[in-house]
Amino acid sequence: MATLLVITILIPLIAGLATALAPGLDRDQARKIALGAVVVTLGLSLVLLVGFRPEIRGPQFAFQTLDGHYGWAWIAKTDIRVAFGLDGLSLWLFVLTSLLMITAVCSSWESVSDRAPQYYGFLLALQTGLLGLFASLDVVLFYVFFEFTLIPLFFLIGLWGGPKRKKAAVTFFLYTLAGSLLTLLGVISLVAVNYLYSRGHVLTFSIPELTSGLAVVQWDDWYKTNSWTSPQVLIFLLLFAGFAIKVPMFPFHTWLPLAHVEAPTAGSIVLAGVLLKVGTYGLMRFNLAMTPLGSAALFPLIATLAVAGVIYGALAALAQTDVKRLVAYSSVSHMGFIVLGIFAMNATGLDGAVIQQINHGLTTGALFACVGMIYDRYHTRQLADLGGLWSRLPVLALFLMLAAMGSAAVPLLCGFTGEFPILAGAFETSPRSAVLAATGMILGAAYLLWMLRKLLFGPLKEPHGHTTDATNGHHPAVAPVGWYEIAGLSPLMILIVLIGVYPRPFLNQSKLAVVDLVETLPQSAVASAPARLDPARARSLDQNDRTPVLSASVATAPAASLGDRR
Amino acid sequence: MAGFLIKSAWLIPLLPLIGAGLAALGPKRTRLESHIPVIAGIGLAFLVSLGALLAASPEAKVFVGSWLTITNFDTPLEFRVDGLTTVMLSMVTFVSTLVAVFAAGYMKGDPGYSRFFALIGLFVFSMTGLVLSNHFVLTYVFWEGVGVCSYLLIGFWYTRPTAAAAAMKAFLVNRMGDFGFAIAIFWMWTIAPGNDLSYDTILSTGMLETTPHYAIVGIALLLFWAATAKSAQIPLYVWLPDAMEGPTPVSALIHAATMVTAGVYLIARSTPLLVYAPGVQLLVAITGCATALLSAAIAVTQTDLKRVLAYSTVSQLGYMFMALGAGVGDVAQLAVVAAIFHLFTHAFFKALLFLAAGSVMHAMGDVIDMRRFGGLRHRLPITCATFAVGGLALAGIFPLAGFFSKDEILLALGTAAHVSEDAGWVYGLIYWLALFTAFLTAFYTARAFFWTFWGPEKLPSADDPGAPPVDHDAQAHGGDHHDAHGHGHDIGHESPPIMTYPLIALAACTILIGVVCLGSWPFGGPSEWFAHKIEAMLWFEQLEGGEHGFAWGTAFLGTLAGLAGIGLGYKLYAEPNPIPGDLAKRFKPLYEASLSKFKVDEFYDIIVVRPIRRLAILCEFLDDYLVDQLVLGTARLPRWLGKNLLARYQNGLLQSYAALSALTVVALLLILMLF
Amino acid sequence: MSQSAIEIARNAARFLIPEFVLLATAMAIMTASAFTRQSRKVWCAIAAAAMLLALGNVLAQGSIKTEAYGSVVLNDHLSGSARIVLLLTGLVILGLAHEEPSDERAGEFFGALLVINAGAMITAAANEIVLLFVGLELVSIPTYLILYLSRRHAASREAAVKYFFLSLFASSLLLYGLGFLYGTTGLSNLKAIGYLLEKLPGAPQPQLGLLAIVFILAGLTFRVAAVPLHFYAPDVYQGSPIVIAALLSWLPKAVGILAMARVLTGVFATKEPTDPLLQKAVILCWVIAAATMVWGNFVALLQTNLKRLLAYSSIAHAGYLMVGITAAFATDSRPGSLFAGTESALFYLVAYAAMTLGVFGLLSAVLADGRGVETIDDLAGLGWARPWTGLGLAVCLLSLAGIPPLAGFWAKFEVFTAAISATRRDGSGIFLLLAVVGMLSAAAGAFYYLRLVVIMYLVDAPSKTAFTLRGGWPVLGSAAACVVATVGLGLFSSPVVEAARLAAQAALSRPAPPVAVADGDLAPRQFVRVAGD
Repeated sequence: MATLLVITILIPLIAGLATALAPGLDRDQARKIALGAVVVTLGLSLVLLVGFRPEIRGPQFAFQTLDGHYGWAWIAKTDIRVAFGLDGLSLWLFVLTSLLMITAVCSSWESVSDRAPQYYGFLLALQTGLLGLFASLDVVLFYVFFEFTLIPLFFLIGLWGGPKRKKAAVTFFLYTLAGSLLTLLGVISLVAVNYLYSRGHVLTFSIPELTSGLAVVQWDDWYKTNSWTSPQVLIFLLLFAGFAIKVPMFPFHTWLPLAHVEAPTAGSIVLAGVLLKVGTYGLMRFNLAMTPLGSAALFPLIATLAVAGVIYGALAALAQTDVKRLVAYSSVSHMGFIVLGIFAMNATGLDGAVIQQINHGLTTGALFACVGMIYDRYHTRQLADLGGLWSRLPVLALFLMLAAMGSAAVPLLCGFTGEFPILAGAFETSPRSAVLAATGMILGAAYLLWMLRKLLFGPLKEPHGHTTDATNGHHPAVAPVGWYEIAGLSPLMILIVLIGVYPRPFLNQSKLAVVDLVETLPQSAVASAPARLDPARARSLDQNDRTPVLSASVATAPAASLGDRR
Repeated sequence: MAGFLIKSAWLIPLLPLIGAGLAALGPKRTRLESHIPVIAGIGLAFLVSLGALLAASPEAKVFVGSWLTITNFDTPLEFRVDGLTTVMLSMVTFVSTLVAVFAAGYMKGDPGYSRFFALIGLFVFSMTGLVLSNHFVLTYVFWEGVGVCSYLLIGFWYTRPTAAAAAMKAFLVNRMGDFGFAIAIFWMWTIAPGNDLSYDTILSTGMLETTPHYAIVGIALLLFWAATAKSAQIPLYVWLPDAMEGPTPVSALIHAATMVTAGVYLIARSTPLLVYAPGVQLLVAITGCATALLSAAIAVTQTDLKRVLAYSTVSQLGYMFMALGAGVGDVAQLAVVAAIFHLFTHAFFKALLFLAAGSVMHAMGDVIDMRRFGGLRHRLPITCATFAVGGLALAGIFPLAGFFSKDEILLALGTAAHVSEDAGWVYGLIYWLALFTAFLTAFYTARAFFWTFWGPEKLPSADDPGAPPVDHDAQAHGGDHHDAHGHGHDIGHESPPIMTYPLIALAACTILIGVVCLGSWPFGGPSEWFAHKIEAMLWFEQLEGGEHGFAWGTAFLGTLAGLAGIGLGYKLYAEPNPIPGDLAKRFKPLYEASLSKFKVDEFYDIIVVRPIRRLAILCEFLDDYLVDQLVLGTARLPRWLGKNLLARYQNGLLQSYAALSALTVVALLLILMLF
Repeated sequence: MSQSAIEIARNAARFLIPEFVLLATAMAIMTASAFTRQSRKVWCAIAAAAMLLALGNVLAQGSIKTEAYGSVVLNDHLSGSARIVLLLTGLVILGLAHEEPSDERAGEFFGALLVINAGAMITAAANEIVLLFVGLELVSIPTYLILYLSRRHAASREAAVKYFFLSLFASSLLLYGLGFLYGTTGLSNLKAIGYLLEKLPGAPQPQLGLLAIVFILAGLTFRVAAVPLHFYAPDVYQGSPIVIAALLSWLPKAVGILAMARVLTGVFATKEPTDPLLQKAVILCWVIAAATMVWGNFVALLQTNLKRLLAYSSIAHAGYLMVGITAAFATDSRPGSLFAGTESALFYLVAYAAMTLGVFGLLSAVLADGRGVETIDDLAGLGWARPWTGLGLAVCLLSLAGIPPLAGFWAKFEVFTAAISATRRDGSGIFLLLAVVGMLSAAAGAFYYLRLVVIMYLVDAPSKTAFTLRGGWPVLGSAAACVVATVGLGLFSSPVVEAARLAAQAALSRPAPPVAVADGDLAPRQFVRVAGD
């Protein structure tokens, strides 16, 4: 299975390189190769999914050496390794990536004709980047994929995007790069801290080993909770810089609307569906799991930003006249929920956040695909130019409505299974932020219904050139929904309903990983205390409790500082 | 046997869902027959409900499976089969069956025929799930589910802009309520032992007595907030009148008989919690009273028949809340029973009224403005008769169903005025206001009836004053209702049997329920079989109860108010006369206020909608001109610094380079040496 | 086992055979070119042959033992690896420059190239203050010649003059600093100086030591084009042909870093990290590194001339290298598996050589409408017109920007890892701050690399420029080698990382001294004491 995982990751890259560099490929061949590659990748991902055993702790499908290290040595002396594996946190994101790529390829089927081989090449390279990122068990490998995804997306936006594509591509690239460079420092700091201060000076770049190592490392007396200069807080902030931009969290979100509006449909689907999850995934994997004390200390800040993002994104979405921008801002709002769930630092919130990542990927991916379908036909995305499309494209109406309802967290559709636990978990940690964030439920419904009302309801209204011929009521041809569009969207629709109706199997896969993660958090001791009766009391307790949890680990480890060693 | 009947309760939501699935997914050629699986599904569900009703007991519940299960959070798919639930279930499935039959005639020829029935099936699924649920989260799920069905059904004729707007409004206002419900659930979740949110745990005495008082008050307030949205109470009632944009069967089923009672149901279900918060109970009563009075006052001037009925629904729901709010002290049991009785009877006669109105509408070619027709009693005899039965029930005339339930509410209020120590006078006031509302109710019901069916015959024509301009757009697209029906050239006939039979059935129920189920009430006290059924409710025994005899005085006053209202209505509207016009002129401010619905929508527009829209535009503006500019500014900073600070030293002059370098070296050296 | 003086001298001479080969060839072709007229190809071929010969000899030198405290040169991992890299890059430059000079100047030109290479190799191997200085000057003086030889217009002459004067200025600073270093101990053997300074309490006298460090570092900042002696770079690059700019951006920088490893960190960094002198050195390097990164990246944002832009890029990369040196002062004494300062800087050098020579090489090969590319807009549409050239250029530019999985990423990764792992509990977070400054300036700097990629690929209309390539297989082969190295180092850097590690350890290692040195009653000790008092 370990080999299968590596093959799954590499297939898109190989197919992509072949497509982009092979001479004389035409569009039809290119898209067929691309579709074949993504279908095979999805097939293999599903094989992995079936083979995944949720009752096993730690990463699965990972190659393990005899001495227990994951993967193969890359940079031998420093033990940077090429290690792949999936656990409960990454499994669904991995599968989601494979799935959304099919939607991405399908949505490009007819709309991309310019330099199609290169287009599909970049798309497939992007897939390898994302699959590799989610499967990485090594921080440096993770980071390499993290940054690598920038290049294909840069070209996808810059070459096949809208009128302002150059600006969008450059802004996207530089903005995310600026943040992720700081994240790199954070990652390095984690390794350095673990190396310099752990017992036995363990040098490891392995994510599982770092997570468990940092949990018992002596942050000892140089850690002061709520101090801005404490190492965990500093490292947390460094890590946070890149992930917050990637998520994107308010106020680091301004690249997103621009990039979304200018990106080709497939770019938007992957960007919103998967790339934003890279941010939340990183927040879980690194910020929460490796700097839990920093997370706890900065919770007020993070919660404020998350809630601000929820409300601000929703309000901004409400004011949009361009559907694609509206959906883009909706991502800002929804991602705020996920961040809030993550930093609620309890199992409920995390469970919700994990599943909500998938839900958001499905719904927003579907929304962007629908918007792309509209744009392909009418070459406009202005709400004012469109209306009553239900009469014209009923299948699109069904897709759009399901996706919007799923996104608005209507029960028995996927959004609810994520958003509700997130808010429940957040309420436990901070009732105020949960209540404020819950207003996002209302505002979210508001802009999504507004969009539906404008696009689907009312008398049919099509932009000039498609208007109804008044004399005989005959419509000039608008392409009906094609097989490739149905093929691309149906899986998402099925999942949107399935996750909503029967979420258990989806949640089960990540359950153990979440429990493991929560156990390393300083608040986990508080979470089960009877003091929860009174939220105010719980908060004060939790600050008192943090120190004992930490000092317990400190007490067992003999002091071995740098100074002692020389 | 009882165990089997209870165990089969899970079929009740499932059967309509299967029907809906068949209707939605059936092949194209079966589209015209989509009503069959749905009606069959709901009808079968009704039979199962009857069985469950027979077997109901407070402890009975069915565990079907686990739904949303995460680490600290379990939502079992568990159904409570107690009295309250089964009474609701029977009512819902029965009324739904009849409405679905009616709709099979009413919607004939509509291009969205199968979509309509699929949604009706889906709605019944959600509604039965809502009342069956034994868990707050599950209740919430179905609670939102009925909201979504309502949204889709109000917006059923999606090409109509007004329908689209009404659907969106309904959903959003309901979402505001759901927001409160969700917060209540989160709050309960933090206090419930083992995060168990089932009714058994949350509403148990043991749990409630250990919960801090502020938490109970808070949760009760939030639940009530949720109920005001779903059951259209102040301040969130504004969506219901607009919801009449949906097809009339939808109005009858969802926006009169079933979904809007969900809020009443929820508060009734949570009464064990509410009695720990008497302040909230008082608030419930006051809100109910204010709503009842306000909407009745609006209803007296409306000219749209369906809107009159819609405001009447709001008003009657206010009645139910008044009853629930009266549950102080030993009135608690009586209050719940009274509210649910009224809910039950109201479902029948209000569905009847709406369907009758739909029949009128059907006959009038989709015209529902009472100014454009009149004297229809000869043309629509069955409709007229059944409307009369429903109207009398609504007015609370003995021996129809409405009389008994309204009387019981008044009784509860009157008792509460005596029992309550702090707020007795408030309940007293509410009692008298309720009586006045009863008078208004009877008046506007009579007004609608006489205006529509009495007097000289008048059929709508296109050149009526107030007739809307011919909708070319709708005609062009052919998606609209009346074109499909072809009413435009065939109006003024009684509806086909498929529509009148349900009317007759409902009218029969309206008469019989009063006599059969409750008729012995004045003589036997609350010991009858039906009352017992409601009392077989979870934790009912926790509530304080006392003997409350039949109050002749209240019954007399209630009947008097009803008769007075009907008399006044007859006087003013039976024959065309100038009195209403004169009155309107004399009390112009009042009349205008009522006609314009007290400008509540406009008020909300100013205090809620516009600020949010402005805020949205502000956010958009901020995003473009502040946040983005900050980011861009930061991005430009290096370039700016490079240009203005650093590049000026790159002046190409050898001497300056050497001097700068030397100076820097010296400066560095000095600094390092001195510090 | 100590060697006799004769043995030491003989080994040193044997060790320096590659340099002698290069120098002898250089003298031969410079002299011969005065008498015979040959095509530049001939001279170039001879020079290449000499380099290959030298390379072969370097590879065969494993067995030569040099005495740490006696020999003027050291045969250690640092000199071994560095000389291989220098010879390889020398071949690349030779390939890029094979058509640069006119036939009549080719002899001098290629001769000078050989001398420069020899000088760089001597610097890498030097264990003696004087020899080190000689090596550095062997790099400088022929550079004047080359700059002068390629003069084509007034700007070239101005560039040559600027370089000449500022280089002299820098050399004098360096010499001054070296004088203080000698003065602190009275020794000229670098290993010996380092040993004494480590073992003797209170040595060197802090102010004298500081003078030495400041002046040596200042002198060497000229070579690496770091603040405060970086001013010449843009003007000189702009005024020179692209190939000469390539040479200037690489060889002096390598020499500077190698010299720092030999004469600064190799000597001082074995002291306790708490040593006040070392701490001051860290602060000095910190300031230089931060200022250089900021200056290079920020001013590069303004540039539209390609060579000028690359000059500032070169300054910026000098800043990253200085981060490694800063870390070296603080961490190199610490054994461990995380990257140490010198190690990371040496790795950076290799990666930088690949990517920067790749960029310069490809740019020198491209002709837009028959003219060499001058401004960034000349590249518009290159990516589509010449896909492989464009791809290579894009790869190198992205590598310079530090995008994984390319060489530049690993270089930055190592340098900043070294800096961060220098952070100490008692220290304030200055290293973290330096890393943050570096990363932020790198993020700003990514813009100008990306702008080139944007211009190459994201042009709105199909470019009408006709792009042709010049130089034939030597240029393209050299450039391709650099591109391949950039990618290869990104995917599989382990061997180079390992070599850099061994080299860095060699720069720091000091064998137990012969008894005479350890216990001898050396006059310098008295000097130290006097100075210390």
